[in-house]
Amino acid sequence: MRRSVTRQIVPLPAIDPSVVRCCTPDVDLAATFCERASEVGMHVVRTTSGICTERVAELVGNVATRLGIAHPKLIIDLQLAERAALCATLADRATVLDPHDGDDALFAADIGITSVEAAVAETGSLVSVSGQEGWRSTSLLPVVHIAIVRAAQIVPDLYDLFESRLPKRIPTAITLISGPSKTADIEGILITGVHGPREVYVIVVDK
Amino acid sequence: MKCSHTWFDENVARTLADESLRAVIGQTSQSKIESRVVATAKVPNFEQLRDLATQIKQHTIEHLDHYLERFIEQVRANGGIVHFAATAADANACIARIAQDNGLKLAVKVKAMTTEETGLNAALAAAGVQVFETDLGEFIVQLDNDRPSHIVTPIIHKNRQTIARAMQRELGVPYTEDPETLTRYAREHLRDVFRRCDLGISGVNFGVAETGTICICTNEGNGRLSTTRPRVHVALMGIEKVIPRLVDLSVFLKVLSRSNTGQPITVYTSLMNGPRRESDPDGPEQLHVVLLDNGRRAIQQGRYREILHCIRCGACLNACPVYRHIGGHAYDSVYPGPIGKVLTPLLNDPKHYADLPQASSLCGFCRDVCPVRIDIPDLLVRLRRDQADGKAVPWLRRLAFRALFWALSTPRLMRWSQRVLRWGTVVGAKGDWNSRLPGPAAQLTRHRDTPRPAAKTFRDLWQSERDRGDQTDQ
Repeated sequence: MRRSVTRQIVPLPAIDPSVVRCCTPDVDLAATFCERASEVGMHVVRTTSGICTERVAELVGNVATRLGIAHPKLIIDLQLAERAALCATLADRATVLDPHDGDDALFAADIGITSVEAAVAETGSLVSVSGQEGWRSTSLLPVVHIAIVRAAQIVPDLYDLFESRLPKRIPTAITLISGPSKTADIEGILITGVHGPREVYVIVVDK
Repeated sequence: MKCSHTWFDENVARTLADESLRAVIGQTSQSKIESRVVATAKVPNFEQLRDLATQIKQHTIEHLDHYLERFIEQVRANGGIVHFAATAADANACIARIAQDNGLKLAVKVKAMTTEETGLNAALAAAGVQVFETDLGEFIVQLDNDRPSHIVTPIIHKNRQTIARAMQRELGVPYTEDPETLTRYAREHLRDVFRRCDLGISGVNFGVAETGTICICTNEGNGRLSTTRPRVHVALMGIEKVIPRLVDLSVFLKVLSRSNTGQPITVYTSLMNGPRRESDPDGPEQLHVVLLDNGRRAIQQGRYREILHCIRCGACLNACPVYRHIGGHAYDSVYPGPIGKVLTPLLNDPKHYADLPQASSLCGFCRDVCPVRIDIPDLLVRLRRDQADGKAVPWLRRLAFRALFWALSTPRLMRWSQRVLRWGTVVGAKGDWNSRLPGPAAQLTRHRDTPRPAAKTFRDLWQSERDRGDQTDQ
């Protein structure tokens, strides 16, 4: 077969943000993010930085009660600013496992608490990256994932994330999380919590 | 007329007879198409995004070598190992060798069409590697020794009863028809596998040339587990999956899942850039990218390269009236539905799959829902023309069409043949219709009545009207 002479050579199109963006920077990003994150099935809590730790501790208690776990086992992202405060607050109510203990700790945990690299308002996505003690398993293996998002981390659109928001040296793993683990393989019925977390809580911290 | 039945005719007859199958596939496809409409209506610039996605794909496939070279360079710069597989057998041998060289024994798989295409599971089993499908649908397919029937929702053809029986039999769990409990059984069973596995196998949704990123879109989390937990991750990527820039992902991710399930984005979008680095506490130690040709290069050189724009969203299957009636198994191909009708004869023996390009009403719904605007009906017509030029059409049908061409292009012969056919169809006729034609023409009346040429043809009427007009003028 020969190459047809009339074949149109298409140049690589420029990505014009005004065309690609589904969510523009002029909207209330935190409000849009909260709305979209709820739409994809995550539970959203808004709080201010001062009471963030208390809100997380309260959430851990509620989740444990509902799941019928008397003394939940947690893994907490080592990068998380509130880690020390959380460990202190939860000391008598939960066990904080060290992910360095390996698979035993990772597979035993009921709840994983993480920070995020960014969040995307358009899709309600959490953006998690590996590296610097960022365990890929923390947001994946436990049945409940709690993520802490600072309002300033929210970007409008996927375009903004890929265009400018990622670290200069691209991390090994970048994961966009948009909801709890889902399947509709059996007769099209939506079920959450197949292999990943069944419940995802997002705590949005305003300044 | 063709009298002998092909394997496809038999498959169609069998699946059409299964009314419950038709009902479940029809309902699921319809609800997905409706979700697509709702999801795309929420994005005001969706048509422009489709245009962009189409242009990026056109450009990339046009300059495939350039972008593949860049992609390979970047994967290597990230610390990944790149392999080339010209055929399915090469790909399987390559992955089996990676397993043997590293002493890997237990593999977990993310649903990947490329691995279905090469038949990887059997090859790995032969090499002594135990393989677990981890996508819920594929896991059930594997348990029940079945085949997937849709490229996105593989067990669309199975109901909860068959799934429950398979789990009861193979996993020894109590029978239940509750989908939630069935899902939990699978989770518990596979958790242990994820803990012990040493090889993870995935496909690739998008390979980014700029950064050497491989992008995988999943909903269940098995994709993340299979690419995080094992020591070695192998991604089997069709060469047409490369895209130029990281920012192009923002275009493709926006159209991919909206086109199928109607989600704005899949639950998990994993972007992987090489194996674990020193600063990474977890993740695989080795990342291998196996680039699969298996006929794609030949398609890229030819007149059907547009089919390589496909991003495997599955929207055309959901839309296709033929697919909705016969389901995925009838196509006897890894890629069913409209995409399969084009891709399968191109990737395999075109003679064996000669019926697939014919199995379409050319209604164009597939083209209307395609996020990268592949003109599938046009490609089907071109495939049909190639068949007619080649030898794929049976000689009797070729002869019949040759005769028709001759008759239609010769006025006198046309007039004569209409008369002959009027009298030739008189046996078994009821007025202007015949429901029992004799001989090889019987095929024409097997499922429906055939109209006979009118006693007075259009040309006769025209002539008599003109004669009358001439008389009144005088």
